[in-house]
Amino acid sequence: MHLDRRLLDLARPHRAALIVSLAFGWLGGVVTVVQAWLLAHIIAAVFLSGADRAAVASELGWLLTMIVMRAMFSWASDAAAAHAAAGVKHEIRNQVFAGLMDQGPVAAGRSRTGELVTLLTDGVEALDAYVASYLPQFALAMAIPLTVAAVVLSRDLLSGVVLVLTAPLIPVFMYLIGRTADARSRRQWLDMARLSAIFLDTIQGLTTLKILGRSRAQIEVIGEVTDAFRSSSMAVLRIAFLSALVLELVATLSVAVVAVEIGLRLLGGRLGFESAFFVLLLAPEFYLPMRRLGAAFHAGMAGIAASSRLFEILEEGRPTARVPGDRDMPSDPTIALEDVSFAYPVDGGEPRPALDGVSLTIDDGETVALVGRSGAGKTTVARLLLRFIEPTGGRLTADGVDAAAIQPEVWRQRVAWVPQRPHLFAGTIEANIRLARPAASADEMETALRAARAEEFIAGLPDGMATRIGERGAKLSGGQLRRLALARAWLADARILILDEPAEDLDPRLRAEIDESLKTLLEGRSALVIAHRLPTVKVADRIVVLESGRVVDQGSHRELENRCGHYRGLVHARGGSA
Amino acid sequence: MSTLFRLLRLLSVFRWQMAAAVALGVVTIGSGIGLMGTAAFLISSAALRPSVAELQVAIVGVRFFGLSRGVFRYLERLVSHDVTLRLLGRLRRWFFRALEPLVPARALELEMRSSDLLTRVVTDVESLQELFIRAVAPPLVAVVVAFGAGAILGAYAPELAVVFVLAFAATAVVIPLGTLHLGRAIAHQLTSRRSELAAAVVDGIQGMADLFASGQGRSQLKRVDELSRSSSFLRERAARIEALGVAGVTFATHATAWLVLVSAIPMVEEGRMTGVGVAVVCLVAMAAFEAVQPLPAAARGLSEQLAAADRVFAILDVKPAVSDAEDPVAEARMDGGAAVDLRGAFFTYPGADRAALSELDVEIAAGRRVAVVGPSGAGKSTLAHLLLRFWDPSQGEIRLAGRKSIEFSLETLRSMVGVLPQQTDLFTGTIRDNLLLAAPEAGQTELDGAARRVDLLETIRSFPDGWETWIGEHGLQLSGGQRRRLDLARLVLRDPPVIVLDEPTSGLDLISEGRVMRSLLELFSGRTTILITHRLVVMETFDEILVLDEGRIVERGDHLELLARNGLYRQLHDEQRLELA
Repeated sequence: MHLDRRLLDLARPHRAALIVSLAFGWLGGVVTVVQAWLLAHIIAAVFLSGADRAAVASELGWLLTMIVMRAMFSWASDAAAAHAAAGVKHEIRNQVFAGLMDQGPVAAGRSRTGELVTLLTDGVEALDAYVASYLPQFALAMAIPLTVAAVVLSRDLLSGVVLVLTAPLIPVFMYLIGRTADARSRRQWLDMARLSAIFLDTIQGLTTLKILGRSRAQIEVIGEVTDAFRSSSMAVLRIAFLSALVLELVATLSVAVVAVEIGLRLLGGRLGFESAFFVLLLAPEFYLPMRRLGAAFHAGMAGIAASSRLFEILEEGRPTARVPGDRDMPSDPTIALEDVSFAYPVDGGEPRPALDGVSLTIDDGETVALVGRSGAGKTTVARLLLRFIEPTGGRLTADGVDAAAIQPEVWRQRVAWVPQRPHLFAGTIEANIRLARPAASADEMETALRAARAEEFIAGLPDGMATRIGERGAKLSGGQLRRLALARAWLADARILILDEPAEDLDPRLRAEIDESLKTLLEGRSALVIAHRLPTVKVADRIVVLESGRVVDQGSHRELENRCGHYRGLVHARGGSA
Repeated sequence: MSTLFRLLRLLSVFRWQMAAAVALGVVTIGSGIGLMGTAAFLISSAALRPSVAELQVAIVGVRFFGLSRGVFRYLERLVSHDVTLRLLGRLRRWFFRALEPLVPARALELEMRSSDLLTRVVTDVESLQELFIRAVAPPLVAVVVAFGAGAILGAYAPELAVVFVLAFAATAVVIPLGTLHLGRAIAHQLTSRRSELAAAVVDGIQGMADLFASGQGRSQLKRVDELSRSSSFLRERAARIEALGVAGVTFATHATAWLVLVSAIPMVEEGRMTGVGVAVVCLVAMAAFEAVQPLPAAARGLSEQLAAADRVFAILDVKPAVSDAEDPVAEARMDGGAAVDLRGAFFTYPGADRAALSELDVEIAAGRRVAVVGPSGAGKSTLAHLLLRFWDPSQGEIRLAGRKSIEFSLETLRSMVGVLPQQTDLFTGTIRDNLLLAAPEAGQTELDGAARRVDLLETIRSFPDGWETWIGEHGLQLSGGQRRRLDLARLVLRDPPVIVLDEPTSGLDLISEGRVMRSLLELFSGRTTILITHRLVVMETFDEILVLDEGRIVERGDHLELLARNGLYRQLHDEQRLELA
């Protein structure tokens, strides 16, 4: 029951630790039996034969030894289980994260980061209870009762029969509890998820609610929802507790039955005191592992719930099989898209086409500007050139070599990218810029900063280059972010550049400077520039006009002005002129 | 310590339920002791072969305790979980009540992220709700059980009671505190390692494109791998210490029984104790230790709960940026005269070294249209925030309809000044729910009217569920344009005399933005309208344009005047002409 196959597979490499845990757990059970026997023996000797301390000294010594061993075995069993759990958790976390990286930034960008982070941290931790408690306890709940039953049967057949007969009741009730608990935890997960959604909605929408004058009323709603959650939870809890009550009654009443039954037989002289007392001590130990399993069950279920989501992500994450190429990237290549099509996968739907038979060449050293309305496919072209996605039709080449034969990592070594909004990593400004080339010298850093016009604003930050970014760190404006990305590109010093409108969001007084700096950067490099402004377009050697995923025309600004209606539409939307 | 007292004060509302839960916890363990004690008595006495009648009481006792233990456990769980859930509701209501006045001003300043706030209200509050079940009740139960079991042993021989109570107390104190102490350094490391891991995962997912482009994908994989390994390793060490607590309690349980046995043996010899008694005292001592078992986890739980409480209290203790008027005046009418009047207003964000707005003198007559333009970071949105009293000016004042805005209650103020926010913010629910948020008392006619004016009525009627259409999380089941119009309908329904439009065309392409701007202005014609924008669209229709730069008004006038001046406005205007659609 509830031995998840995928989790067991994951635990397989750590079976040695799990077996050690089981072995110590079972030894603990054996020691418990010996301990009970010694205790019964000593009390019988003192009680019936009037033995003094000296007479039972060695038994007392052994008893204490057993007690110490029992504690040591308990620790060893738990420690080994914890070791196995640590391994399993590390493994699944790595697999899921590596799977996400395999999918690439475009696919990963579609999932909700918050959920993923919770899963990879708290979700993975929830496996602890499953691997370290539930799994070993599951085996012990069979091994120890069997051992105890065998000993009791050999000493007193009737009591043994009572134990063996009542034992099956426990799994039956556990199963019933399991079912209600299952339904309960599923329902509670659902209720809690719904509550969380309402909380998040309220937190994120509090400003809006305030503007609408409804924020205080919403808090009353929260109160009502929480109250409703309480009554629904209590209703389910009552049933779950009732099942637990039945389980407990079976165990304690069985002990009581054994006690009365052996008591009456003692009275009739059909059973010796020592055996009777020994059986009485063992009876609770017979049920204990099964009751512990019941306790571990709930925590274990939380692990199962979390892991099933993790496994889902793992399965989504299987990257499409790609022949791993081993070709080198040509050093100063001409890059070409040859009749390339691309469609984005849609969850449970038809793929959404983005490019349809696009052919486009960037000669070595040439700057090509890409223009078009939003949704025309400009970003998709950039993603293809960065190898974040692979063409669904046609091919991408470098000096005629199919990109599929070149590892994406190798390809990207020659490419630098200036995105619209670079991601800021937790760490210092310096580390964020150095990302492009961690080994860059101080001089190179300085050159890059100056070229990107980033020196001044960085000097104005509280700790300059050492200013930390992230949780409690500095906030950067859109224009500052853009300059940071430019500095990265300068530092990367790559042969091929891909830029996403570098001057957008900048203060008009800075734009002219950035335009100048850009010209220097582009000199002697190949570049694809997604352009939203005329000055950026004019930097280019050639302009490619994209419309609904197709190249409609290409040429110089003057040529296109003369012959391309689409281009004129873009340029004159504002009444702008050359 | 003060955190603990605050928590206990919070719990004190439920003191009777808690007393009941503790009492039930005591009798549950008491039944366990009773079961083992009477069973030992029964068997030992039976060995002496008395008449069955003499054993009747013991037999009844064994049966009674066998039953009562389960029943008491059941009742105890019901009562304590009820308290827990009630506490949960209270904490959440309390949290939101404290959060409400902090948004958005303090939330922005303190960079409270919604994910962080959600963690506090879900995870931290949940951890606090366990305070009673896990940290408060078990020690109380243990104390009562110690005295109860001690009394039983004392009835046989006072020395046994002393041995037992000392051993019990030592176990109950030393093992939980000892393992807590041993584990503290690791727990701290683990917390910080886990947050590093979470940050590395966030960076890896959100920054994947940057990492790939910079060839750093593998190094991030390695970083996550290392952090994951070291946090798993730390967790394993913590688990080993927890296991030490479990093993320690097991040892103490049986070692105490052993001590009791060793002390009792000579008493039998001396005739101070019967042989029956030996079996009873041993098993009673053993059964009583059930009360110690939850204590190591209780100590660990308490330190976690205190940390969670600190995070929750941190929110509760923030002072709101503005305080509501104590003796508010009623809503004022805005016919004629200045609708909005800023006099010498300065504003500096707390902690900032530069003023966001300086020397703002703006008088807007009722019914006029004013545009506030300027490059990003000029202070345009700050102006909107001041009008809505998310913050108060650090100097100078703002008047609405001739009265100081701080004289109105916040509710009244926000019914006088309506904002179309930059980002649409819809709530999970139906179209009707979302519109009714703006005006809970509105009838169907008003709803229809508002929807018609924003050109949404036909769309709503075309949906199979009409007004009851479920719009999903953040309204994502609707198209962008439909969401925007729903947002607009809320403003129309509220119909405030002053309308603030905050970057209403952001995210639209050049071709659509002019059209949208015109229809907005038409919709609110006759109202006092303040447009905040960095896009210079249909500027010729505004009575006055204020050009903000670094928090100051650097130019003002109408469109043609400003163009003629050849200043910042002209520069912004010309720049925009260079844009491609």
